[in-house]
Amino acid sequence: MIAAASSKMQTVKEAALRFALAPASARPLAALRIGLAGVLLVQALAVAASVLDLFGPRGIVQWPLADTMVVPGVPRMGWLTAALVPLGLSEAFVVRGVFVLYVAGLSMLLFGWRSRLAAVLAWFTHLILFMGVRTSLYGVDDFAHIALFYCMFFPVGNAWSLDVASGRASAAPSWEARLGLRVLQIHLCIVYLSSGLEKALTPPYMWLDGEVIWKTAMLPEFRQFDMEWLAHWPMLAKLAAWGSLGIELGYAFLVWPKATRRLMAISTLGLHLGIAVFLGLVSFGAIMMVLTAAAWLVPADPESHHRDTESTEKSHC
Amino acid sequence: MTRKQKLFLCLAAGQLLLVGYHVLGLPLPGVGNPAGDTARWYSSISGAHNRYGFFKSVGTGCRVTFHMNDTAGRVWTDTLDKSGNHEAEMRYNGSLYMIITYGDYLAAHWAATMFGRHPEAHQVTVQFEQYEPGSMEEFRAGVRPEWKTTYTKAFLRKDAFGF
Repeated sequence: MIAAASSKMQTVKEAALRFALAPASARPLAALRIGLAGVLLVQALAVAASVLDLFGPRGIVQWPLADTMVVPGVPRMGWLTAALVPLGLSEAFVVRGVFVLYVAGLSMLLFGWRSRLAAVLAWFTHLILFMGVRTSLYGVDDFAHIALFYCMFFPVGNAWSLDVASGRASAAPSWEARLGLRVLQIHLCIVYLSSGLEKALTPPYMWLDGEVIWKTAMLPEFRQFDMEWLAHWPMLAKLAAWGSLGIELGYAFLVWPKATRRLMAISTLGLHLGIAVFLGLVSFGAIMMVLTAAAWLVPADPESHHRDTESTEKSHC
Repeated sequence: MTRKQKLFLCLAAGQLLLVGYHVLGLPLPGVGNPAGDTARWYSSISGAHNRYGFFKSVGTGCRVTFHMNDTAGRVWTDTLDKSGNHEAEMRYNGSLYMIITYGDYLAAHWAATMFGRHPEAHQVTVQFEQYEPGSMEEFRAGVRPEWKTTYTKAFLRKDAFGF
């Protein structure tokens, strides 16, 4: 009996190790890298003219107040300016310089050129620009920051990159790619499940009667279309709310089985597309779509990697 | 399993456990406790500190308007957002809700921005308004949402006093 239990434990351990470490293609992580950098570059373009207003020392919220919202010890812009202003650089120059470095890091990441260095540069500059001035951020920045943090450790440059093209990185399936993909997948499941539970269980339970859809559509900052007609169709608001809740609560359970994975992932993309169109949260919707598409819709199994590699080689011949 | 695999597996598990810990809203050791401070610092730089409760409920909309006047009696207005695109506008408006927490301190920051933009202004009055959308039932009954001023504060330029 002890031997049987031990054998079962061994089987479970092997299955767990296969789940976490079986070699996988880095293509899903490359999709994450490209999608993330692409969205953040467009976002950077949108805020480029407002850099000093949003992140500068005398912006709409000045640093002494912004600093009180940052965890002690976390790097911030004030540290850089304290080090560089005595060298003759102005604070505004330093802020603009960090923003340029941020764009440079994202551009390198997009093309997969020195991907690890690019990820470190993009993450660090994002940390001190966006996360260091919390009065100028919203939900998208939290997810961008998480994804950039992961890009520093995951082999995101091991597919579809200049690093592979130049021979600096191998495109061969690896356990690092599998582990990175699993971390991303599990983190996303935690995100959606907790988001769904918070929505369903937080008083006054606006998600259960559909009022949240109505109120959000009516708020001037999110209003993209005239939605006043929705007041006469409360069942439609309720259906939209319940549909969103269903996707968020079901994500962690239905995205793992092969039979429901594609449907679940595509439904989630639809949810975020809806948020982007109806609430105008375009970069938030785009980042969330990138995360789910990379995690679940880009094949990671080595067989598909080999098939694609062989067909590419044949077509080149 | 190699030593490197074991190390990375432990790091990955630790990261996900921390994410789960924050999601559950469990407390970290207090400020000043080395374990708590380290966990807060790491959570902040890695983004593991979130609870992801976006839009769990929707409150009021808000906006802030600045009314300037100069010594010649001219009066004009401005808003924080000068970007002209929704992405930047979201960020300009990111601080608006914080007036509830920071009150006059935050309003003074905004006013300073306005004095910087409008050097000729002698006084800046911050007007904060809120917009309660109401329920669908109220809307059907004919109630229409409107902006209500919930905070005003006037700031005078220091040199206006001639000190």
